[in-house]
Amino acid sequence: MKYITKISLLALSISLSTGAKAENNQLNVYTWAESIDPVLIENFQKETGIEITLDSYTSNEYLLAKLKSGSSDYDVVFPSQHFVKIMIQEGLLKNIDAKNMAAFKQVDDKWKNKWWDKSSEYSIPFVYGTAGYTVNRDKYEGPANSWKEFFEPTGAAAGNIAVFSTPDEIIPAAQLYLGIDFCTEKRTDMKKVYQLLKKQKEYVAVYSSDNISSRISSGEVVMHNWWDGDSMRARKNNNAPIEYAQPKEGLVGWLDSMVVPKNSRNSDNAKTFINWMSEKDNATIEYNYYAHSSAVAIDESKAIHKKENSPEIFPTAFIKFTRACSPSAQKLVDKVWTQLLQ
Amino acid sequence: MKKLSWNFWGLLPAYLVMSLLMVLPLLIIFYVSFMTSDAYGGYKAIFSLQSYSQIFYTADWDDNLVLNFQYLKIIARTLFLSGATAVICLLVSFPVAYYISRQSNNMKTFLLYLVTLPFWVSMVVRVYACVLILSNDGVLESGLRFFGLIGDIDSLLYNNAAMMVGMVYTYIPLMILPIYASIEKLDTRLIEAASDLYSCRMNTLRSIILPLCKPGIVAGFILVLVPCLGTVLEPMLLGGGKTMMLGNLIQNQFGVARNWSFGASLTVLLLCIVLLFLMFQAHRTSKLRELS
Amino acid sequence: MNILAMFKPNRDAKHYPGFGAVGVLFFTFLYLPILVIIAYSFNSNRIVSVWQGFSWQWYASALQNEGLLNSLRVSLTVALFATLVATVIAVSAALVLERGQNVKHAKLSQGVVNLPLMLPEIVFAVAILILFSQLGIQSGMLKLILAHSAFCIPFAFLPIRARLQGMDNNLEQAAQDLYATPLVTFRRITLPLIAPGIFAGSMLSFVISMDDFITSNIVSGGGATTLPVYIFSLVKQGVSPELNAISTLIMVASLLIATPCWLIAKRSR
Repeated sequence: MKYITKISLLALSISLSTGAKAENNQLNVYTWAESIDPVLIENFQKETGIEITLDSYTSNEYLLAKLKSGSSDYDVVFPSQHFVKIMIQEGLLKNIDAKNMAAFKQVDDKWKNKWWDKSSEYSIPFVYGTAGYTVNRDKYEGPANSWKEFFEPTGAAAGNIAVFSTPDEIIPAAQLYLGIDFCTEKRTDMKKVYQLLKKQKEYVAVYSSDNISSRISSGEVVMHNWWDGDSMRARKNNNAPIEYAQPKEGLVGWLDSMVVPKNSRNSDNAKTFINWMSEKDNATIEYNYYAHSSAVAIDESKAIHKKENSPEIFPTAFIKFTRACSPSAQKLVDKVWTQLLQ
Repeated sequence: MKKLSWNFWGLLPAYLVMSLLMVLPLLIIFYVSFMTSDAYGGYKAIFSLQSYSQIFYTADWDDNLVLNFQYLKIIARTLFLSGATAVICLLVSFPVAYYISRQSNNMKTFLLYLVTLPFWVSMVVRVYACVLILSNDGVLESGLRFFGLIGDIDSLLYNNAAMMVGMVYTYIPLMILPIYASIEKLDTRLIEAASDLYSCRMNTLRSIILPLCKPGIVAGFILVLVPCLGTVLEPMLLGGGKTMMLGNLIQNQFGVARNWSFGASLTVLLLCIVLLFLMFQAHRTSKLRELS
Repeated sequence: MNILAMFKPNRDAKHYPGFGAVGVLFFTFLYLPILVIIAYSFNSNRIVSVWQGFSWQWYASALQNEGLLNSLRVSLTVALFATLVATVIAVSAALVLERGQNVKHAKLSQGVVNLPLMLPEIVFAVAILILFSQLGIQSGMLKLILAHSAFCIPFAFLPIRARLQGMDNNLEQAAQDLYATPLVTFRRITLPLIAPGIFAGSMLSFVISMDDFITSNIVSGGGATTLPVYIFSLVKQGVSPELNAISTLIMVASLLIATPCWLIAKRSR
């Protein structure tokens, strides 16, 4: 019996000490899957002594749900522009006085003081890019210059396409294809979107935002909803036989910012991290790793993704950025999606 | 008086924890299920029955309420798959439990150890084991193909059957143990007597063994059924996320679907279903007790 | 046990032909997937289902996996605290319910202690999620410990109560007759006697906490990813040899915990 008491006391003290360590020099980063170069994490920990725990998500909706559940304990998260706006509205973000941070000076002027954070109090723009679709060129020889091929697939593509598991990018894409405004409040318009997606569903193999790279590279599906930089990374790093489509109707644009959730307990560490990530050298390493366009200044001489070898992130198609929908428009979006996936 | 206070202080922590961390949250769920959902998650304190009517009705694109079988289908699937799982578990467990009870004492202990051992292994790992077996070019598929039993088939994964295999695999120990316990209690002289009176084995099984094992069977059935009704993992990993069960539907409402009150009403519904089964069991056991 | 005996007509009325075959099939069904994982974990090929050669490399890479080790640390911490809380509560509740006199509402109290066993876990998980969000509790670790403590209580309670039921209270009576105070009686007599029950109960709740997926997945936040949640994220990314190695390690650990518990339970019977 004494042994048991001793062992449990020992265990208790061990876990107490590890628990105590967790409070001080901790930083909980919640970011897009495989978006931050592990080298950067390591360097940051070495330079600052702050220990990072990294969790990842694959959709803005998932991030919002986690934050909205009140108490997720994250210190830095990376929502897209319209979700920054929603999170500010919902009071989920901390005012970090972004415009006076060192990081803000690194931000490209065209991304400063935009509609989602007009006076730049909450967010530091970090990376931007587009959402479109990627085709596997071993399995699919047809054209890839319109959303038509994706929404109304024929031939090898029919039955072998994969779509994101959340509506955030796919509904705007459908709206681009149909020539409907983003965030429309018109029922008749959204009914058309629904009908298009409903028809597409017959040809969809899977709705998923996880593990996209292996699914499209291996040819398990021949078309996959994807992001520009991720698609390019798979092509360059793994020699995957894939091509990122340039639909003539346009690509869906997004910009991820670094923000601090309202109830972060390590907001000073969070600011340190945001400033550090925006330093020119680190931003360049991140650019080379993540392969999405950087919203903060990078060292062009060290950048490996140049215009001539990176058609994905220098698209010819026009880009339309998603907006934060009004509640009634958002209801229609949710309605399309729940009816679609029933 | 002193004794009473010992009793009081001894039970106090259990009552405190259970009422704060079990009962109170359930009451909140009940409350939220009658409120209005907020567009971006959470809820507004406005009374509404919307979340309950949503289970049955949906507004179509012209804003008319129409009967909607989407959720009813998920509920029916959940009931069916859970029931079928429990029945399969029962059909397998009874012979196995009986077989174990007929072994020597040492063998019994060993076999029971083998039955309980997987239960100590993390559920995620056990479901993953099923994924591995059923996956494309997995052991089962290549095995069956080797013996020429199947041709080119789509996949053994991502369908209702795969989910059921996973559920049987995860929960079957919960069925074997109570049945085994009731078989062990069985007075074997009854079987011998029946055989002396020229009852055939099937008859003995039907009219003597099974009725006497009923408490164990009912207990095992409930032990398997209740976790199956709320299962989340098997549909996600073995069902491919395309076919939902009630547990996933609930989880989604608190995740990406951001409809808390609807999730809460579904939770209340699930709770009612479970309570019905539990009451049935209580009724059954009390009746059995009266008989004996 | 020879094979032929299985086919010989058995005159024993208690024998049912075919039940043995079902038994053999059942144990195959139960252990085949586990054995497959173990076998694959030693496969040096990156493509899991094609055997290439024996190798320890996936164990090496698993043991260096930062995410895995972090989640293991979280799981261990949570399980230790939850087990401690659950066991203390369970012991005191079991003592009152089995040894107390004139316990009022004993039936109800038992129901309350065993409440978590009656709910499907998803119900508890979403309920406690809402509770935490209303209370605004921040620390992911604290949330996990609170939730796990609650649902571990019945698992600690049942073996302890079984132990108390299984022993008579003569010794306790004798001690009290010799004017030992209740506390001394508890420390000197009852506690050593129910120690195996406490051990079994705390081990069981430790394992239940380590295993939990549904609640942890919903409640978990920054820096508080538990081992099952981490493994789940790996499974979602697809089958990989490293995952097989991790699973095998977990199974070995479970074996190491389960076997002593089993032996103790067997001996004390």
